[in-house]
Amino acid sequence: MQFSKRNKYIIAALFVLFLISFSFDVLLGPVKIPLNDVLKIVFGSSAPNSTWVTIITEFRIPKAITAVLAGSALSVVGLMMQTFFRNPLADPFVLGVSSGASLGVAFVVLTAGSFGINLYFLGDIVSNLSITIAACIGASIILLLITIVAKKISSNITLLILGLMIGYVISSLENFLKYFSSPESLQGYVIWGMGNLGNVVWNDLYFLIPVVFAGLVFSFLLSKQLNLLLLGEKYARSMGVKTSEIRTMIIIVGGVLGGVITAFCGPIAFIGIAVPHLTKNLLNEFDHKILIPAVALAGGVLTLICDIISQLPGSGQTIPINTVTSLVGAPVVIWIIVKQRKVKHSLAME
Amino acid sequence: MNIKINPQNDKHFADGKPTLSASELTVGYKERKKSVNILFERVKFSIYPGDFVCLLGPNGSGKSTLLRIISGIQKPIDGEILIDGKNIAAYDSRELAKKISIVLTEIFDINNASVYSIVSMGRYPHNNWLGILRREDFEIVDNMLKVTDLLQYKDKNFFELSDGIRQKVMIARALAQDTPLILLDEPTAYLDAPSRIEIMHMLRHLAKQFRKSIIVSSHDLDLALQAADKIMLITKEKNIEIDTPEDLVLNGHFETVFNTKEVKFHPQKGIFKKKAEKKITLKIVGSKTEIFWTERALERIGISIRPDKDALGLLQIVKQNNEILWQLNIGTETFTFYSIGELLDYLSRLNFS
Repeated sequence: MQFSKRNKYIIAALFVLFLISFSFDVLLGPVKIPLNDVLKIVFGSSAPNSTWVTIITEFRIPKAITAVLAGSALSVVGLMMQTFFRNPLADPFVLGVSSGASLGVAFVVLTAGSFGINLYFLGDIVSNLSITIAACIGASIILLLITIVAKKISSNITLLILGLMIGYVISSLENFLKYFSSPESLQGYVIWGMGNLGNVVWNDLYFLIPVVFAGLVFSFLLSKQLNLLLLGEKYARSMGVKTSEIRTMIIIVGGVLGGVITAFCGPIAFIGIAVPHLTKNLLNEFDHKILIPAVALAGGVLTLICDIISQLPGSGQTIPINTVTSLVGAPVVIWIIVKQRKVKHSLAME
Repeated sequence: MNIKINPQNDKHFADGKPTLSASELTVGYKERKKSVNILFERVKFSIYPGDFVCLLGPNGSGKSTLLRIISGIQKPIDGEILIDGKNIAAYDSRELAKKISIVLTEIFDINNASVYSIVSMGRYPHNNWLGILRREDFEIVDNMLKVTDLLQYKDKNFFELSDGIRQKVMIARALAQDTPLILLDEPTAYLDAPSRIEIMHMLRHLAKQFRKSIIVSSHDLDLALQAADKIMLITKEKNIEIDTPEDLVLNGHFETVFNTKEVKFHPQKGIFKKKAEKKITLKIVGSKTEIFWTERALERIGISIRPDKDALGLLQIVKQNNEILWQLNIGTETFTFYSIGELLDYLSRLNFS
C-alpha cells in the first residue's frame, strides 16, 4: 500500500473530523445537555440527571454509532457498485437496491398483520431478524436483476433510469401491500420508511456492528479484483479475475450490507453515491486497498454530519435524516452528470 | 551442397516447442435458427517463441473470434488448442493469466491512476491476494517501462495521456504480466500513422528481445507486410495460412483474399489501390521523388504513366532556380505549370473522348 504524503495528511484530517463529528453528534440534540455533564456521563463519573444519562447512553451514542455504520456500509457498497458496473452513478439507493430492501421489509411488516401475527408479540429478536433477512433478500434480488440487465446497457444514464423504474415498480407493489394490511402494521411501516437512525438500540448494535464490520472486511478482500475491473471486464478476466465469482460476491455483500442498513435505519438516500466520488476526488486515488477504508471513514463522517444537521441544533426539532442526505447527495449526482457530459463533448464533438 | 527443405515439415528451426498450437480446430458460432456458421474448419497452426505474427483477414472473416478462441474466452466447436503443451481448457483462470495476456482495441478511461500503477497491475496474477508488489515485481515493472520507452510518463495520470501512449502503457502492462503469449486485438485501430508504425515495430522488437510469441490482429495490410515476421492469413476457403509476408504475396494468397472489384493489390509495389479507369497515358521525365508524387496525383484522376511512345503526351518535370516546373507537351502545344495542383486542374478539365 502506498499512501502519498498528501493522502496521509488527508486521511489523518478525515480521522480528526470523524472524532469531532462523532462528539458533536453525541453532544447536540433536541434536549440541551451541557458539555460538562455529557463528559461526566460518557466517562462514567457521577451522573447529575438520570434522564440525561438515558438520553446519552441509550439514545445518542447508539445513534451516532449507527450513523457511522450506515454511512460506511452504504458508501462502500456504492463504491463497489460503481466499479463493478463501470458506472459513476451506481449506488444502492439510486439503482433501487434500497427499494428492494424496503419491499422485503414491507412484505414482512405488512403481511404479518394480515396473517394475524403481531410482530411485537413475537418479540424484538424474531421480528428484527425476519425483517432483516427479508430486506437482505429483497436487496440481493434487485442487485441480481440489475447485474443481468446492466450487461445489455452501455449508457450510464439508461442504468439510472432503470433504477428509477425499479423504484416505481417497487413502490406500487408496496402500495398494493399497504392496501391490504392492517392499520397498525401500516403505521409501523410508514414510520420505518421515514428513515431513522435513532431506532437502533444497543441490542441491535450487537448484531449490526459485527455484520457491517464483516461486510467491510470482505469488501476489502476484493480490492485487488476491483482494481482490475477498473480496466473493464475483458482485461480483468485476462488477468485472472473470475468475473462470475466476483459478481456473486458483490451481490451478496451489497445485498447484506444494503439490506441490513435499510432494515434498521430505513432507506437512506445518496450517501452511497456521494461519498465515493467525494473521496476519489479528495485523494486522487483509484486503488481500492486505499479507497475502501477511506470511503468507509468518509461515509461515517458525512452521515454523522448529516445527522447533526438533521437535529437542527438549537431548534429543539429534528427532520428525517433522508431529507438531509438528499440535500447533500443529489447535487453530487448532478455534478457527475454535468462533468461527464463535458468530457463526452470534448472528445466526440457531438 | 544441396539443402532440401520440405515445406510440409512443421519443424521450426529456431525453437523446439511451440507456445501455441492448434490442431483440427473448427470454429463457428450459432446463428439464430440453430444453423451453425463455420468460420474455420479443421485448421492447424503453431506459433513459436520469438514469433511476431500479424493476423489478417477481410472484415467478418473471424479475426476477433479466433483471438477469443486462442485466449480461451470462447470454446471451439471441435479440435484443441495447446498453450505451452497443455490444453487451454485445463487451465484455471489464474494459471491462464500467467500464460496469455491481451491488449484490446478500445481505449478506456480510468481516473486517478498513474502509468506506473497500471503497468504494475500486470503483476497481479503473480503476487498475493492484496496485490502488494514485491521487489521482483518492481524490477519487472521498471524494466517494462524502460523497454517500451515510457519511463518519462511513469508518474503521469493515465487519463491525461494521448491514445498512442495509453496503448503503449497497456502493452507494457501485458509485458509485465510476463506471459509467453501476448494477443493484441487491433491495438492500433484508433491511432495515428506514426503511433501505429512505432507500436508495430516495437512489438516486433519485443517479441525477439523477450522470446515471446506475439499475435496482432490488424486491418493495416501495408504495415503488417512491413513489420510482421509471419502473417496469419484467413483465406476464403475457411483455412488459415501462416507464412512470411513476402511468400504470401508471391504465391498469390494475399491477392485472392483481399482483391475486390474496386480495389486491387499490386504485388510490384506492395500496396492496395483503387483500379484506375484508364483514360489517357502520359510519358513522364524528371527526377525520382517528383515523378513518384506526380504519378500518384495523376493516377488519382485516372491518368496512367507509360514509358513508351504511345503516350498521348510528354510531361517534363524541370527544376529551375529552386522552383519546380511541370511542362506538358501535347501535340505541338506546350503548357507550363507551377504546381501539381495547377497541372491536375488543367488535365481534369480536358475532355478525353
